[in-house]
Amino acid sequence: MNLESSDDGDFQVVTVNEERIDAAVAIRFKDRMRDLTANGTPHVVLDLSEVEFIDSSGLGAVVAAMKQLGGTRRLDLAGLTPTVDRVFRLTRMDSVFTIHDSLADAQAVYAG
Amino acid sequence: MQPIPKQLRLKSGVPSGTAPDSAPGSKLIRLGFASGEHEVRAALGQLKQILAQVDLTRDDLGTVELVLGEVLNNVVEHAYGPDQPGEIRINCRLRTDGLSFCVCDAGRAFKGSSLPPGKLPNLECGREYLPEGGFGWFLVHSLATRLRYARRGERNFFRFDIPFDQEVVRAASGQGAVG
Repeated sequence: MNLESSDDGDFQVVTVNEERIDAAVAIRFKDRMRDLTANGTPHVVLDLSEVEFIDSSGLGAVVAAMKQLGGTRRLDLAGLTPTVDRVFRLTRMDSVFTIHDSLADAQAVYAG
Repeated sequence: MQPIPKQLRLKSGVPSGTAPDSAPGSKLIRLGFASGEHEVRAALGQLKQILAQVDLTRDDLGTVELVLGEVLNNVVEHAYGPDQPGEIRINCRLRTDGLSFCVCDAGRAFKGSSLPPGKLPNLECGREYLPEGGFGWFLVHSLATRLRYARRGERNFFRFDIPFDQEVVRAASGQGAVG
């Protein structure tokens, strides 16, 4: 599971360098997210622009990654591709997460 | 337009293939593979490759992958489970207005002999209580039609249709799609 993280202290970006977050990798994704977000950065943005496909196991793992952050830290999503976007909308998860069109949009929001 | 390959083989080594159907206006794609999450991935990739040759839209391919993926993962996790090996077979019939699927396995019978209703889990709760599962059957019910399940002898049969958004498959009218 190739996840890449960059962090400036207040704002962390985790980029998923994989085409799929599915049942085969969901647990590894959740574990990797726990390791990468252990530093306590208040705002984490998950860049999903490389991800072409997510299934219900992958969706559950993204929810788990958010819950792992605890009550005050945020996990936003950015760069949803069409099929991934559809899964978030169909399951109403777009009402749970703040979703940015792109990583640049997310960075603009948090730059101030 | 390239014809569908007559014989294909999955990475797991289980032989599989596609077979042209005798009925005019429809084609049958058959896949068989061993139960497992990575085998499901390989099978979905293989089917997508075949379907890409018949001009499915990206959205329709995404729908097929979502619904079939959920059904197959359910078989891997529940009908067989982690300790029971077994084979999964897919029949996919290509029609002008969509695809008809039959997924067959020799695992345990489905709980209660009927499909879950596919209700969306409750999201009106605190973040710490948000559900991490229970979305699979909801997605299947949302995107597939004519979903049905039968237990015959020692086998499970899941059948469902995926209707296309547009009639882009021209196999039936003979305008040069499959085969």
